[in-house]
Amino acid sequence: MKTATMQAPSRTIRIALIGNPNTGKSTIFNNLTGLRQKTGNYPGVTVSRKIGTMKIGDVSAELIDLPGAYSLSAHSPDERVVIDVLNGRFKEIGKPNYVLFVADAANLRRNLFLASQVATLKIPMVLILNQWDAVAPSGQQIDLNLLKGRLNIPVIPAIGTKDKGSTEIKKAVESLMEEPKFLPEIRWPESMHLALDHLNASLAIEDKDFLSDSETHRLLFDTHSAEIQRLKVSPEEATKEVSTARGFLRKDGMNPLVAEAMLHYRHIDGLIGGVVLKDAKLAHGATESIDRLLLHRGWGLAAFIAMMYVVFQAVYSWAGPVMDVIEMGKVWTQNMTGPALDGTPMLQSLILDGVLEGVGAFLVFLPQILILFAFISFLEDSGYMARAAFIMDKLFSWCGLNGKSFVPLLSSYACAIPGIMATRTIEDPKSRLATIFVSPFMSCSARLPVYILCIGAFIEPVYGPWWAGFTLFMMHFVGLAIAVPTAWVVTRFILKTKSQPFVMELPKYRTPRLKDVGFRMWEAGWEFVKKAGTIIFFITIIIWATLYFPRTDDQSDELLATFVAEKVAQKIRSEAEIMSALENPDSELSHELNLLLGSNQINQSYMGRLGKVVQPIFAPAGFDWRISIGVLASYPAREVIISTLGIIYSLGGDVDEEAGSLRDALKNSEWQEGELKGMPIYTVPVVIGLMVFFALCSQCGATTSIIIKEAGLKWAVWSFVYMTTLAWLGAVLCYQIGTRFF
Amino acid sequence: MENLLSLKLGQLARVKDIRTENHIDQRILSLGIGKDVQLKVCKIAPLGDPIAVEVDGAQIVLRKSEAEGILVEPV
Ligand SMILES: Nc1nc2c(ncn2[C@@H]2O[C@H](COP(=O)(O)OP(=O)(O)OP(=O)(O)O)[C@@H](O)[C@H]2O)c(=O)[nH]1
Ligand SMILES: [Mg+2]
Repeated sequence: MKTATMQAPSRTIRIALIGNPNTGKSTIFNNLTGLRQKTGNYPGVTVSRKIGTMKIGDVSAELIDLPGAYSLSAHSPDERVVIDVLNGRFKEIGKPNYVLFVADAANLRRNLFLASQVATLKIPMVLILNQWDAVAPSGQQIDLNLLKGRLNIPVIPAIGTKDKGSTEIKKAVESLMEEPKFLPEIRWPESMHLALDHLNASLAIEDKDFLSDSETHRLLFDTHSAEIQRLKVSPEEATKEVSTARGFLRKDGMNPLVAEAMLHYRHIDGLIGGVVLKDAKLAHGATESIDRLLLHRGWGLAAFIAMMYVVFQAVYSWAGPVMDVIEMGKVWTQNMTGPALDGTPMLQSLILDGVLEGVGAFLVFLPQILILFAFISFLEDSGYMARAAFIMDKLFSWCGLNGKSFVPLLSSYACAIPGIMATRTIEDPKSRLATIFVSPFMSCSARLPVYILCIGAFIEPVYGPWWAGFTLFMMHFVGLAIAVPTAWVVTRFILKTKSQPFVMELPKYRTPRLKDVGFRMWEAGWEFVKKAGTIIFFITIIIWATLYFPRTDDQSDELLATFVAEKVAQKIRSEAEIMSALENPDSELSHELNLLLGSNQINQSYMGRLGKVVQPIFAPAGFDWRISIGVLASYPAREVIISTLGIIYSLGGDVDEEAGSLRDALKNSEWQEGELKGMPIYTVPVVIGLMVFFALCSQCGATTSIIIKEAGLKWAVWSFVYMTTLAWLGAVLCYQIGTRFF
Repeated sequence: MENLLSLKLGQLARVKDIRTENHIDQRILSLGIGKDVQLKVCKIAPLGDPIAVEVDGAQIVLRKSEAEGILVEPV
């Protein structure tokens, strides 16, 4: 006792959270560490390791949250992480001292299979029976005392979502620190010992002289074991030894490929016999009733489409009032700060037309982001996401992807970055690559501001709210419509993948916790606001500067003279009348003059000149130089177009300070030269083309770098070139075909 | 012998043998679908494929092409 307390303060221990997917590991991790790892009601939310710290008594412990796995024979990159951590193969982590095994209490037998495999690693273990609240409703009873007696390790019932069990878990680890405990060992048959001895005698892992038991098991049982690459001998030689070892099992009447599961399950059945009492009549809960509707042959598909439709309709129409408030806030700030800066026109312009206009135009879309993430979080936490994968698998399998691609793709509707990370759950590397390649086509939330701006200004006023919602829905569909054939080509001709198996567990429906939904919204909202303060702010200043310089103030006298002369020539007013009207800054004539001076300024600014150089590239899509500049400026991050257009129109004097909205500025924007002079720039075909361009283009530095990381530079370059080309073609087609019909 | 696809929706059966491609075998086994286990087909996707089978209270989604290799005997 004394020695334990004496050495305790200096020690750091490592604890790994292991378990099947979707059992509540991350929820418990959050409870124990106070961190906020993402959780969700579908298998495969966590795809990489995450470390947090906690105190157990006065020992500080590193807790490692890991992806879920069904077995140690890893099939996908996320599962491989589990084995590598357990074997201490990551230098910065080191082998864990303890395992917290998180089991779904309502599915004990299946969950214990992995526990039994992990036991071969001889790491002391605590068994957490999480989701204890779901045991009774599933028609089961678990005899805890009997189980504790049989398993020989601490067994803790817990309810992660209510933070029940955390204290007991810590106490259990403490007890293991005093006396390590292990699951009862399997009694392997004699042939198994012969096989293991043979492997141990003939093979060794690269940097060590021996194989651990779990490594030997993987070599013996797995068809495509990654361990074979790690051995001192060549893979061919190793394969030979492995098949000799398997011979011992065969002689004993066992099929080596199924022997492991058979032996473990036999062991488990011995351990839990009589522990779980089932009442089959009770087993059909709410989940079955809901699924009878949502997965119904006819209704199921309709419900799926209707649900998606409602999401986009809500995103479009619920945000209005809040947007107005934000917009008013922007105008108010401009009115408050404006007069104070009258003495320094350049700073005034930087603050009012640059920062406030640019960042403000962007921030207006915060409510939409929040609403979208509320829905996404609801779909994920309720358990519907896995159903969506179930429904869509047929469609995806046709193009060479599978239902497992669905979750990454759906995540990409929020943001392609977590989406691409989520592809780590896909077993087959080629399917995974194909999914990564098409993920950026899903319409991420960063595209939302562009759609809302265009639809709000040009679709809704003309066609009404119904069409507005429909257009938004369709814009989210365009990327998918391109992604499916793209994936087909990639999997059929470039990667030549064979059709992939699809095995997935359907979770039970759950009422989402308000706390989780709220946190998701807060997180997404905060990301959005942070973006406004960083990249948007930064690019905003650059855009402002390139539009503000070089100054054309020296031309203003000349312009004034021509302006007055023109007005006099119209013979409506005398020169004196005109001059006195211009004295008053609120008169119509003053406005007209300001507009003239402003557009002269931006036309001759650096950005204006650049815009005219690049505009011909986009001319076939009907874009003027301002849109072209907006498009170019948005390559680092697509939202930038909003702030860019905001500044262009504000400096050009087009944004009426009272109404203060970019939307109106766009509506009033006209061609100033060329054959279309005097015609509106933004016609329906141009607007649709612009939205299609943004739907398809690869305009996100962060996505490109995550593709480099997950798939390599080659794929990132391909993705960029392919998406940009398609985007341009799409916009040109919309304009060229559209103008023939409108 | 019958395979999983010949079962009616909700009909209880016992697994006799699994004959799919090797590494899928392992996957299915680790999900608790093994010899002598009782299961039933509980859901069919609206588009006809995949299906979901219920084992030990958990529901596992499989494609029909994989389900074909799971040989069963109704109980
Ligand atoms: N009813 C109930 N639900 C729980 C409990 N613990 C967690 N959950 C829910 O179960 C779901 C999965 O939780 P996660 O913590 O994401 O599970 P995970 O094991 O980390 O999952 P993966 O990372 O996908 O392997 C979430 O919807 C949680 O809210 C519990 O004790 N009772
Ligand atoms: Mg997790």
